[in-house]
Amino acid sequence: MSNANYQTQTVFPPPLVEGNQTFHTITDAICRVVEAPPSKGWIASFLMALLGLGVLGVSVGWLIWEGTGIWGLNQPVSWGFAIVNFVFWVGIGHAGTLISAILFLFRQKWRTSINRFAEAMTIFAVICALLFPTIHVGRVWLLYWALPIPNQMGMWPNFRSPLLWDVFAVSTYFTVSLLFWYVGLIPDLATLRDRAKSKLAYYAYGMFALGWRGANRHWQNYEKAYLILAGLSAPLVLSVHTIVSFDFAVSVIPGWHTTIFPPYFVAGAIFSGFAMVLTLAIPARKIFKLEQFITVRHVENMNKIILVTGMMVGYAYAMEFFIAWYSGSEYESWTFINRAFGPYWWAYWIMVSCNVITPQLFWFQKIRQNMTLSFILSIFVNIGMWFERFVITMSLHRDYVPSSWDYYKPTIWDFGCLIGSFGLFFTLFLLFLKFLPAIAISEVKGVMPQADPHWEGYADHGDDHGSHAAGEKHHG
Amino acid sequence: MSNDKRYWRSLEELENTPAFQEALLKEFPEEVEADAVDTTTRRHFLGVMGASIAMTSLAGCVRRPEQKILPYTRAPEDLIPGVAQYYATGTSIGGRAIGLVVEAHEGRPTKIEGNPGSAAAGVVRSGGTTALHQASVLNLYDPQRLRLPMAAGKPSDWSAATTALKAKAEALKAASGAGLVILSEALPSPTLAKLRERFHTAYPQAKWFTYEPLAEDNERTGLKAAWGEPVVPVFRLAQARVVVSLDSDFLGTEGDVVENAAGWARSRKVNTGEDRMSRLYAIEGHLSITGTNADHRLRVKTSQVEAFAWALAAELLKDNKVVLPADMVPLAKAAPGIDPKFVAAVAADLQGNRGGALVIAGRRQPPAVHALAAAMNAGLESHGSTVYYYPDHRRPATENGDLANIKELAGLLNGGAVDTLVVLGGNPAYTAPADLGFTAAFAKAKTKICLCDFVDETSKAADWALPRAHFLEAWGDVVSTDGKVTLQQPVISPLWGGKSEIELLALLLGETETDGYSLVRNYWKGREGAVSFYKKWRKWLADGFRTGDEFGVVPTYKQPAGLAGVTSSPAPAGEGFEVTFYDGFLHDGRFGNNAWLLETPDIVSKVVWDNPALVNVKTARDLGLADEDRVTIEVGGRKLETVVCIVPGLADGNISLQLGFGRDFNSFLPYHESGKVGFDVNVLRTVDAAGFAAGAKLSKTGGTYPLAKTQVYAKQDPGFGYAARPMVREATLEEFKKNPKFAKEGIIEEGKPRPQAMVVHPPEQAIYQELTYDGEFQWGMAIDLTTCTGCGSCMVACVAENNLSMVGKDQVRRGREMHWIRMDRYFVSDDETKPDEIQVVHQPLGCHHCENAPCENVCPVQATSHSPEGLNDMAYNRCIGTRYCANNCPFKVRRFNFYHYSKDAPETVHMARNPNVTVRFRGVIEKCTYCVQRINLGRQASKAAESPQAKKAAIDAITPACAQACPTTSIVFGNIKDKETKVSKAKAADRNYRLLTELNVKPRTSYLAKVRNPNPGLGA
Repeated sequence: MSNANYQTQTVFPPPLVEGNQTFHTITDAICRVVEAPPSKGWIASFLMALLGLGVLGVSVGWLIWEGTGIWGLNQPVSWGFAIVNFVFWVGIGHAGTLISAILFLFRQKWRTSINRFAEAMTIFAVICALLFPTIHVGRVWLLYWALPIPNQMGMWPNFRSPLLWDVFAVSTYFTVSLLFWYVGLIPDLATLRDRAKSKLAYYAYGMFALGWRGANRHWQNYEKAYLILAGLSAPLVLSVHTIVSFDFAVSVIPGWHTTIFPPYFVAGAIFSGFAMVLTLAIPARKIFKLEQFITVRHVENMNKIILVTGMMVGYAYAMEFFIAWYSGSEYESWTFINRAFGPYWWAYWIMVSCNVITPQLFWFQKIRQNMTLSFILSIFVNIGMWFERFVITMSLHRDYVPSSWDYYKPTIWDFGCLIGSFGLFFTLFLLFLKFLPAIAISEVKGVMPQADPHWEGYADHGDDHGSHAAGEKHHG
Repeated sequence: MSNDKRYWRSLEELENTPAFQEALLKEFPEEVEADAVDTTTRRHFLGVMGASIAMTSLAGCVRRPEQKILPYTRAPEDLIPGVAQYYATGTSIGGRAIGLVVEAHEGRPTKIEGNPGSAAAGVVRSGGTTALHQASVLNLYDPQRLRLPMAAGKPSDWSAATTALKAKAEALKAASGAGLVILSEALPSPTLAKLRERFHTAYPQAKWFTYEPLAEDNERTGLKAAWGEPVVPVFRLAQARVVVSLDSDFLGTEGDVVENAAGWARSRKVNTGEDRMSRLYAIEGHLSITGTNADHRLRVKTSQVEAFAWALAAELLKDNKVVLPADMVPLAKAAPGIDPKFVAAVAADLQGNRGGALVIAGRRQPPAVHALAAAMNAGLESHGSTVYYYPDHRRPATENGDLANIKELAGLLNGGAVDTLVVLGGNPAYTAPADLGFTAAFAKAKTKICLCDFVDETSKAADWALPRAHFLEAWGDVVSTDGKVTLQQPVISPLWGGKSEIELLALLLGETETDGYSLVRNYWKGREGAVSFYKKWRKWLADGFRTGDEFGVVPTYKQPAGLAGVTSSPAPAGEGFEVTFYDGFLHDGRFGNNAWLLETPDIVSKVVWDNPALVNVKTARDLGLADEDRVTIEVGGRKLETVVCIVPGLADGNISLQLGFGRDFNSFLPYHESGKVGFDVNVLRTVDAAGFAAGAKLSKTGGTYPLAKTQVYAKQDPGFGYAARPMVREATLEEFKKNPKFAKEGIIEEGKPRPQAMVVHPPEQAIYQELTYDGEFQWGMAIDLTTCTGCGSCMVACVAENNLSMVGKDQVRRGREMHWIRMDRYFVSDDETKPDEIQVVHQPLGCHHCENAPCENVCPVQATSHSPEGLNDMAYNRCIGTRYCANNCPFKVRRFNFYHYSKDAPETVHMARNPNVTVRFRGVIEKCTYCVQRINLGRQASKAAESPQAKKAAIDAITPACAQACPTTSIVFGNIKDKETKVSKAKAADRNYRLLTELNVKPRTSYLAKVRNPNPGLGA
């Protein structure tokens, strides 16, 4: 990237795909990652991730065998890392849908090279998130009682419980996100099928490609389905974390019982989601040599969103304090003072530093465009957002009656589950990178200059540009 | 021809009708199809069968425990399976008797209550007991109990033991008992006393020593000096107006605590400002239960209490208003270090309440203090009003005190004068003062026979260790200090074939009848005469006590003789350290294997499973000590390595050491390892310093030792400059008179006005339509904080009634104790810079059964919901363990089974469980149910009753375990819909308030605010 490009930015936005690509080179570049034998870097990362997954397996296995007591939970603090991790992962899952659906609906074309990535991240993050409410209950084997399954006892779940709303919200979100991701994948799966060298790959990709031939009808149906799913997902971005926030907001506990939570949680979710996309995308574009697709402009745009949502989150922190004071409830205002200066002061200030202070560095264009710094700051945001959930959950440690106050100290098994969830996430994510196109091939092609029928490059070809473009799409 | 023959089945066939043609084509005749095969098709049948097989094999995959059900082949009379039976019985702990009612299920005693009727005339007693009585049922089922007679450490049997005993008895009789010594606990049993007489006749040269480790020698010596004979004081606190405790924990651990607490509470029931209320002064070094309830508490070292007593005497003598014996007068003088203003105020208060004044001396205090207290009581005309002195019937008048006895016995043993030592209960090798070297001395007896509960420190070295019967297994009789006889009726036959003290004694005497029943019955028959004895006996057994008092007319003593040779040399006030020995839930150590008591938090320190050395804040600051620091305490060359716990309010320089710990706990809890619990402080205890010891040195050893506390934060004041939270609200009597409704205004302490409640915005509104409570009865509870002493009896009663799991030290340290009712303790101080100048408040807190319960709407599976009668019910089987309810409970009373705490309990411990209460399993929440099982029993009784009065009485009789066990009747429960019930009246009182009303939770449990009665003259 030369500076010259940027000087003309205001007049002509830089291209979304760099390096003077043709349709063919794009297909090649993206499919190469899938078709080439795994790199050493991938294998090393995958082994690390598997190790993490193993940690999760052992932690969860021991948890189910022995009981919830292996965690550091106690009497006032009945929710600990499990719920923190749940909210953390659900939050991360937000960026995917936001990028896919909302940016799609707003015709933000720059989303194309990161949306696949982000959607996959969403799916895996939601899988990690779903894991925690599942294992955190005392009797895992009876979790299905929380589902409205007709039974001979006429027993129904309690529809007033926010936990039940959670079950619906998160599972709906997961289903729609999965469908959205899968529908978007179909043309690319067909491309991989058509390029497959081995029988196994041919049949595997072929099966999931659902007989995609790139016919006009296919494209028409595809575009409609995609639009409908985008329309369906868009409200989910807002609803899921709103409902997750109800887990806290509907309670009577000071520090939880707060009406600001729904927008505050949604902003936080987008904030953390984009940070996670960056955390994943910056190394990936380097390792898989995808710099020409995930460009500096992409990173910078995401940094801007982080800056904006970071300030929204900061505003929410300030507002919580204000309202706690303004409410006139001494329990409430005391809880916030205790957050900042009580036994968990360190967690609070880690949260503020990582979520409010360090993102301010993104006011500087140089930092926004610097990959290393962006990566580091994205990690900070991830840490900060994890601590935000920790700080909120820990409101439990000192509530109304002082005699029951206590301190929650996580055990090795709490950390095991936290680290293990990253293992699960990265295992899935690395498998995705290896076996599926990490960038939406067909969509990227759609935002290339070549996709414009009036592209200057077609001037020589007369009127055959249409078939040429379609052929490219078809043949990959 | 044959071809023409037709064989036909029916006329239809013969006629070959179309109907027949049709029928012929059917596989089954119609009737058959309709009846046998019904609508089930073959496919359906196969489908169902296949599914059944699949289900069967699935069901087979679940491993269910193999259990055997045995029927009553010969059903006991009067026993209806599933219906509990109640028997009256009695027991004594440390020589103090109490009448009890035992609940038994199918022959298994499971729960112990007090028997209010068994109190002597004029004594106030509720159905309450102490925590020790509540827990004593677990001792019966202790899996570690001795199950067989052990001969020199090897299992033997009773026939061998009996043979050996008889042979020994013959040999000793021949020598007229020379070399035979019996060591017994102080057992207030008339039958035993009779047998003892016979024993002395049969073995004239034998000796008998009575020994209780929590020795009352000082009282015995002092009162013997004052009255010329050994007597025990019996207090009538209900009549008291001013009580001065000279280092006595009469409300918690010393003397007849149940009667004391009940009487004291009676003297402090204030419903309106016009009601009379007694005043309690406590002068002590340790912070005892009594001290925490005092209106004024003077912190002086335990050794300084004597100086205070003389200063008080001097003040009383001033205007010649109080006459003291002549030999006391010269000793009565003010002492340096004792606040003269305080002494003057106390003296004036005592003088102003003659006849209602009472001075109680604690058992740690030297004999002179007891004599002086008796003299002051006499001078204040308290005899026959607030105090009576009765002959001590626990041992003959000729016998010395406990410590003198054990010292003499050790001397005899060391001198080789003991041939046969019979230990009738007790564990002297552990409890005897360290300077006696009792373990070594014990080994010198030629034959050692121990009647014991366990293979303990003493009986492990015995030639014969014989299993002792628990009081619920054996016949006996006990008599209270004031002479009420209670028959000790067994409820179960001895689980391990144990024998009681009287049975063993009868065996030694070679009696013809050696079973407890005959012994007790024959004794009383001998006294009462055979005429209509059976009728009386039946009545006594049914009532639980003998009609009439043992001592007949109450003896009155008018003029004490004085000190009569008892010397007094009050210790000078000094800077050094001193240790004070006190007893808590383990008593002298005899409850050392009782998990229920080990896990009941100490009243003040809230420590469980340990007995740290308690020091006050000043001492800790001076020495740079922190909680959990390991320390060494040295007294007179004896060393104790222990751990420190800081408790505000002790006297400066005082180190409180709790007795009864440092023994092995044989754990049956899945999350607690067996091993030593706490520290054996007996190593510092000597004959001359059994109550307290001056000249102690305290030094840091380095390192820390973990302590498990059930309450970490000790103040109502949350910090950061915020006002204290109005959990316990209190006022002085004066202030209560001025503003009777102070509690309702959320005022914690009068004098620090707090005009608004905690939340100034309008109260929260319910999101959902509020429940309507349309049940026939509406349950509610009220807890009087004025009379609650914080004794912890309710907690243990709840454990026994509701099958609570004990979780062990490590789990408590992780904050996972399972008590359904906890005892919150807050320290109250006026001046932050004087952290030791504190008062204490106790608050029992269980589930509040909120009408708008926050726990209910958050449960995703509706495992907790409301009954129409206002109970917040919990369906354990439905709970999946999200713990959301626990989070959303503003009182934090819900308890979670983080592990399978109830698993693998030994069979005997299963027997202790209440069959009417589900034993909870891993992963579910549990909490106080208001003893719903008792409510249901009461409701059944009410339904079965015929008259409206009986119906109402059955409902009014419903009492949860905590309320029943409370010695001070501070907890009342009942139907709040009926305005005539006790609980309705309590709730209508001015002092009534509810917690966290600003949350609109509408709790059914309310509190009656604490009222203190400080002396206006002291300006506190």
